[in-house]
Order: sequence, then C-alpha cells, then structure tokens
Amino acid sequence: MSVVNQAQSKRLVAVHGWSGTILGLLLYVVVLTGAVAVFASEIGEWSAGGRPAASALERPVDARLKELASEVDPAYLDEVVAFSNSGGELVVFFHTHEVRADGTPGDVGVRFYLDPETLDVVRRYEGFSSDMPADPAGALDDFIVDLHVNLYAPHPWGLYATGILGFVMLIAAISGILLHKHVIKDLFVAPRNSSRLLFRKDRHVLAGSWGLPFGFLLAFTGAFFSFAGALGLPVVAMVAFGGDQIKMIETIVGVPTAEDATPAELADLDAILTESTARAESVPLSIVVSHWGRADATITLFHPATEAGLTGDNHVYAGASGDYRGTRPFIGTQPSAGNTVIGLMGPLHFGNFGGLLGKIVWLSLGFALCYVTLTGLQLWAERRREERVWKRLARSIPIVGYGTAIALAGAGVGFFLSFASGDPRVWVPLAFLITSIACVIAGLLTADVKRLSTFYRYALGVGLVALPVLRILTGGPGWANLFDAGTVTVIGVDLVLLVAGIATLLSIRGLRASAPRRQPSVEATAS
Amino acid sequence: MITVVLYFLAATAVSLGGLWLLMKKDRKRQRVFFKTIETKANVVTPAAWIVTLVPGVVLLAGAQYSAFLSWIGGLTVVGWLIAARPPVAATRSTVSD
Repeated sequence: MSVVNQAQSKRLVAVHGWSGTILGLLLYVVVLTGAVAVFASEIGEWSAGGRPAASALERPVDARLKELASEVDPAYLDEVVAFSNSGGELVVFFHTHEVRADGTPGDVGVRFYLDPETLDVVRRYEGFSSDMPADPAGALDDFIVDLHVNLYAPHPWGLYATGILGFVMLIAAISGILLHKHVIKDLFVAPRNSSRLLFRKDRHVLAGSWGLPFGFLLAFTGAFFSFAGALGLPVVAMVAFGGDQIKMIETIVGVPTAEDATPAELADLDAILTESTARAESVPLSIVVSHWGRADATITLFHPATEAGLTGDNHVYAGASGDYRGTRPFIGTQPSAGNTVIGLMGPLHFGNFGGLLGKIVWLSLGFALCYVTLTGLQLWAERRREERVWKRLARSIPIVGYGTAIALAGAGVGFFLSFASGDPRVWVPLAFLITSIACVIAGLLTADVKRLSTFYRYALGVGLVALPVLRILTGGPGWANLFDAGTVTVIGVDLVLLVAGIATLLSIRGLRASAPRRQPSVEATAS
Repeated sequence: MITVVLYFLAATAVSLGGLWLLMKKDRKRQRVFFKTIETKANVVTPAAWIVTLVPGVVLLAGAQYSAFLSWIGGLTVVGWLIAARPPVAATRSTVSD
C-alpha cells in the first residue's frame, strides 16, 4: 500500500534518483570493496602465503615476552599489545602514549615481529608507531580495507566521504521503501522482457526490494563507523561535556582504577592464556597488558565470537596476581542496552560471525547491493538517454562497474610482483591506479558497450585466474606444502579466484549470445 | 562451526520450500507471465509465509544468533535470485524478438 500521493511520489523519485546518481559510482566502489573486505583477514593470509594452523598465542609465550620486556625502555611497558599478523608472526608492541612534535598524540615504543614457531625476532622497529614501516605482509588486505573505509583519502576526510555515502545509501533505501507501492506484492515478479526500460526498472526494483533491509542495515552501521569516531565523539564531547574529551571518555569507558606504581612481577601469561581460552572456548585474538611490571597491571584478552553468538568476549585479569576480574563492556562500566547495540554494530557490518558462513552470506549481500546500485544508475541513465550528460553517465557505469573489480585484481598482481623485492605498500595502490587508468582509457576508446563489456570480462577473468598462478610463481607456497601445513585458507582463496575467473570468462559467451530487447514501450516510459 | 552450518542449511531449506510455494501461488507473477491465474480462495499463501519465516523464529528462540543472521541474509539473496528468474514458458513467449 502506497503511503505517498502522486506529487510526493514524483519528489521521492527525484530524491531517490538524484541521491543515488550523484554519488552512485563512488557508493558502488565503497560497497564492492566492502564486500571484498569481508574476507580481509583471509586475503591477508592468502597474500602472505598462509600462516601456521595454530596461532602463536596457542603456544607458550610468557618467557619470551618477559625476556623482551627486560630489553626495552621501561617507559614502554606502559602498554603492551600482542597479536598474530596476516603471515602468522606474533607482533608485540611495547609502547607508551606521548605527544608528537606537531602536537598530535601518538604511540611511541618498540615493535617486534616474532617468528610464530621459534619466537625469534624477525624485525624490530622503534619510535612512533605512525613512523614505523607498515607490515608488508598486510599490504593488500590493508589497501582494500582502506579503500572501503577511507576511499584512500587522508584522515579524517576519507571517513567523512564514506560516512556521507552511507547516508546517501540510507536516503536511497528509505525513499525506495516509501516510493515502491507494492514491496511485498512485487517480491516475486521477475523482470519483464517486453522492453529494455521496463526490464531495467523491474530488475532494479526487485533487487532493491529484496535487498532493502540489508541495504539499510549496512548503510546505517557503515555511516556509524565513519562518523562515530571522526565526528560523533568530538561533537558529544563538545555538547555534553563542554569540550572535555577526557571527562567524556571517563564517562563512556569508566574512570581508570587508582594508580599503584609499586613494582610487581607480571603473573604467568601462559596460565592466563590457558584459562581465558577455556573460558571463551577460543584462542584469543590479542592480548593487551597495561602497566606491565606494576601492582596495578591489568591483562585483557580479546576473543572472537562463539559459534552461536555474534560478539566476541574479553576477559580481564589482575596483572600481578593473575586473578580473574571478569569482562569489560565496550562502553560504560556495567552491561547495558547501549553496550549491546554498540557491540552488535561490528558483526552486523563486517559479517564476522559464524565463521566462513557469515562471511559468505555478507559477501553475497554486498554483491547484491552492488547490483542494486549499478542497475539503479543504468535505469536513471536509460530514462534520460537522449541528454548528453546522462549519456556520459551511462558510459561511465561499465567503466567503474568492471573497472573497480579489475583494478582490485590489478592491486593483487602489484602485490605479488613487489612482495619479494620491492615495497608492496607502494606498489599495491600504484597497480590499482594503473589498472584503473587502463580501464578508463579502454572505456573511452571503445564506443560499443557490448565490445567493451566483453573486453572487461576478459580482463577480469584473466586477472582473477592469474592471481593464484602469480602467487606461486613469485615464491608463494604450493598446494602440496600448504596442505601438509594445514593452511587450507590459501588453497580455498586460490580455488575461489580460479572458479570466479573461469566463470567470468565463460560468461562472455552468454554476453555475445544475448538477444537485443525491444525498444521502450509507452507503458514503461510512463512508469 | 559445523552446528551453525547445519542449522543454517536446515532453516534455509525449509524457508526456500515456503518461498517456492509463495512464488507458485503469486497471482501477480502469474498475471505478468500470462499464466492461468488461480481464482479460488488461496489458503496456501498464509501457510507458505509461516513456513518461510518460522525457521527464523526457531533459530532466535534457540539463541542461534549467527545462524539466524546467516539464514535471513542467505534467504534474501537466494530468494531474490530465484524470484528474478522468469518462468520458462513466459520466457519463451516474450523473449522472441
């Protein structure tokens, strides 16, 4: 049942169309990279050639970490973070919080990269964390995440941009709900083939109707993540706490316990790891030790979500005695509805629940939203195809649509070609840029859309198939070695890329064979 | 994780059965694709909606939250892919140009 009259409906079409059209192509880039970024940790592991089946935090680390702690400046024992990186190395960062020369706060200390088997130091960096060389093993997955979160723009402008895109998606979803007269009734009506325009309208409405709830959910949580830190907290601090950010943080995360700098040996980390693992029924993702070597030290272990649950646990222990202190909410000091909602934002946006299953479902939803975005743009351009400006938009849709996917494959190629000898942190974005420019040039030189799509599909298919081959040719482990080591993630990603590449190449036959549709009917144009 | 996958598969299978019924009995779909429209009172549709949605209620009641989210997300995508396919007979009759 429609809730708007005809005049309101026209205005809503304008709001829906213009909001989607003006930033639609950027929105598509954010949605596509977001869909791929659901598998960021798997992509990181795959590009780094796999990690040991057992996490470094499953092995005894207590003696080694205490040995390293004795080597660093005691000031850096203020906070210690330990976690496994994409390649399985144990990263340990002894640091404290200081103000940089330019007045901005930062973490300064020593970061060790330890071999996961022997715990020998592989690399060691000292200074402000922002000045340390970024981990080359995570260049590809970090780039994809950065493109999704910041559109590769500097902080905080990238966050503002993606936050605005989240709101654009929200506007499009809400106006779509209000606009569509028969959301439930039309849920099962397939696109009609009687005219090209009607077909395009139907397929967009159908995909949009099915995807509405998740489009709304992903847009809302995405906008939240973009704006919460970059804009929300400073605004809350200004409005509710008179600009006092420290008071605001104390209100949100709780007042820190009274300081006690009395020297005290840290409890046995291995015993705490074992107990926390038993409590959470999972190996922790990371450990944070505050005030290492003092009586007021605390040890917090962060665990992934349980099989049936959505949010991960954290367990807090007294650093000196090793006594269990309980869990700590994300916000506030006591469990609350707000804490639950904030805790759900992550899994609802990232799909990081239920293991591989949740990720596959969220990837599929991401692709479905890409389809909604592109078909919406095509519909808008098709309805105005006589006007020059919309002809340009129509031309740019396949360029961006295929081009972003091809450029992501290009970024992967750049990673493997530079990983052994060069700097993948430079070459991954550069390869993405070069591939994007090549796609734009191909799009500008080829007038025929069908020929262009065929070319793009060849490029994408070949690019996807080339990635696993290139991974092995550039020194990555082969399937036999990976299978023996139990690192099946790399084999899985290889297979997915091969299947996706071959399917893309096979789809070219279907593209060539597709019959032209009738010209738009009067009925469709009127609708 | 096997349990979550099993719950997801079972719930999705039941819901897809309900969706298939809804699609078969959808009058608008029948009309659009020139199929014979059933005129008699339709008691199947409400039952099919219940069959489609009940697995979600069961998963929530059993506190299987990750299986629930996977189910509803998966159902959205699979339901759309199925609904987007035109009936075979209708395809033959309309895509002749």
